[in-house]
Amino acid sequence: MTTLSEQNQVINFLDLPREILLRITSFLDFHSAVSFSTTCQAIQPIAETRVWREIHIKQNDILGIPNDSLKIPNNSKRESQIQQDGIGEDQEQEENKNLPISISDTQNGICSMRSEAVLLHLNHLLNKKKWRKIYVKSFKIELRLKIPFQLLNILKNLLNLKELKIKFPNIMIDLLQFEKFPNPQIDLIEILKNLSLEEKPLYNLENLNITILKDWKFIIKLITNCFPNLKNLNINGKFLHIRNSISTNYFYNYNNKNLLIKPLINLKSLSIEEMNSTFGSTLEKLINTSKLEILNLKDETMLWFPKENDLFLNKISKLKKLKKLKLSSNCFSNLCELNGWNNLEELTMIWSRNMIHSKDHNDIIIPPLPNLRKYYIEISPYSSSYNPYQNKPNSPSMLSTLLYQLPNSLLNSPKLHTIYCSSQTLFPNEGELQEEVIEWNNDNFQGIIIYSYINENGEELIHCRSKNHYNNEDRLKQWMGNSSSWEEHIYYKSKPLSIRVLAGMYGISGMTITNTSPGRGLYMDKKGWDLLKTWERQDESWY
Amino acid sequence: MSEKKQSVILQTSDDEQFTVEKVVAERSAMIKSMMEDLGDQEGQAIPLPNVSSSVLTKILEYCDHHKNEPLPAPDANDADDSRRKTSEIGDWDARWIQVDQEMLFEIILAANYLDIKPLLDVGCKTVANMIKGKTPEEIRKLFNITNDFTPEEEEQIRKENEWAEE
Repeated sequence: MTTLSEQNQVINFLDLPREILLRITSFLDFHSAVSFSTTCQAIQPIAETRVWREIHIKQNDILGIPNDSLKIPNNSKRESQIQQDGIGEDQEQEENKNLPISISDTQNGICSMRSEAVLLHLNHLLNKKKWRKIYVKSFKIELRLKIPFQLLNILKNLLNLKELKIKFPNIMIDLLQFEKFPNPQIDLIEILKNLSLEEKPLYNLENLNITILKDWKFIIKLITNCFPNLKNLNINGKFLHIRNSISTNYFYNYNNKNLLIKPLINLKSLSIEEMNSTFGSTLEKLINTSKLEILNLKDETMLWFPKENDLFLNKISKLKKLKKLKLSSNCFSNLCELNGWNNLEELTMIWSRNMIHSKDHNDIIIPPLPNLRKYYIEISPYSSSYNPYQNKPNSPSMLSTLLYQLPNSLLNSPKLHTIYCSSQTLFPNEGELQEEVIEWNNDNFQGIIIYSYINENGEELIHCRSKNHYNNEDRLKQWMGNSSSWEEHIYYKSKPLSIRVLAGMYGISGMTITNTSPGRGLYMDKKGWDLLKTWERQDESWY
Repeated sequence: MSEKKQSVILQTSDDEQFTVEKVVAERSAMIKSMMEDLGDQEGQAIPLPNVSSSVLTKILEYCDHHKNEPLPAPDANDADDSRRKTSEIGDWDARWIQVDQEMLFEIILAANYLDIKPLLDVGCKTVANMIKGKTPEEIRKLFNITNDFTPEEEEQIRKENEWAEE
């Protein structure tokens, strides 16, 4: 065995093994990879692994592309001579003739025609080199009103696809604007139906991000057929429960049948943009797995009313690996009463404003969960703006309730270290300031972040930071750029402690870099604890 | 256990022997598994027929510098390149790998053979950074590649591939 260098040969770049050339290519940016691909015939198939790795067709690509880029290149004769491929080229030329290029129709016409043309062209390019279809790992497409059937031909061939995203942005606006256009959901169902008939549908697909507007259960069923190995499923779309559309009637038969749904055995993460009472039974079948770790059941509009013995919630409470969960406050009592949640570390609870304000000091708002570390409290932006203080002038603020409950809650959820209350949800959107200010004024609560530190003796120091309540004038100042005001509460061995002591402890522990800027505090090391011990020994009266 | 046992002998293609600290040699997954196979046979040299002494000297420098870092998980989803995007190289590594192209390719080949994943990545990232921002002609010049496309073909491929932009 001799090495190349021993023979005094110069190693040529093209002598490097293919796997190394592929590795090099994987570090290139898109444009460099394009340049690289045109250097020579041997490099082209290698460089194109990077070029065709991700395809993202945005709404703007469909609406904004100039006409000439839609034309299918006509020098394909030369091409096919060189790369003995030419798959379906004749057919494409044929299709090209029927392709309407100049469209002076309405906007919706342009939308659907162009999306069709874009996909036709993409399919043409993918077929031009036999390797391209294999290279595509991620395919994202944003569509409006109509999904061209051409999408099926593309998807069928992307055998190594790992990630697929089909999104309909602006769907509500479109549907209201172009009443005569059919719901794109019909196209999607047709495509999925055909895809599931393939012998091996997209078995490698791991991530799916899809918009479902109706025929929920049926589409879920098709998804499980087409993509049985999904790891991450993201379902977007606000359910169109009110609008009576063609598709409901069209697929009435399917929905009436008792659809058998097979579980997605590899599912790790499931996210629903808007939960609904009717989804539970479907999801319950879908997640028959011990692998699920993240479950996001967003329900800001509070359309999901689980029953006391809800089967779906009961099932997820028993999931062994579930770490992150997002629920709305409609599920709060179920969450508290069900046994389980043994590994749940992060909980986000979307509270309806009414519900949180009607809580008494003794009504639990921190759920007793054995392994909970982070608790995010959000307020639903859709819940009514009813003012609790008008009706119940003595109702406690959420902050005071939180602080009141904290000692007890920390017994029940011993690992809880941070409660985040996004003040964001209480902040009005720009432009809606006027309307919201009044409401804000009545909201005592703005936020709380809790830090907890445990020293080597197991003694715990809890630092609560809570945003102050502003009256109108203060608030204005804050908008003008005055620093926000924090209220600090410190508990050491369950007794309140002076802020000055904590400041000293943070101070001696040194500087930290937080997010963007260096700052002091929120970092506790041994020096800090030593300081506390010294003070404790010297004078007990300081706290 | 004596201190002595913590070293291993490596023999290069040009028959030079290197006595190397075990923790340094273990950077190479290939040598590590070989040592495990050989067990405690003292004094037994491990032959590295694909690595010359000049390249090994250079590589041992790298291994020594990184000897205290945790080893990468074996086969950490190596085949899947879809997530690999950053091409940043650490300061020390970047200085260390300032070598001529010949040596760079030798290092990459040896890293591949010795199975030192982080080093392989440093090498490949360095080559990728050389390609970045260059025109096709500049890339050809850089690596001595002969253009076997006609100008029309080249233009056609460029057009097709630019269409795929994310």
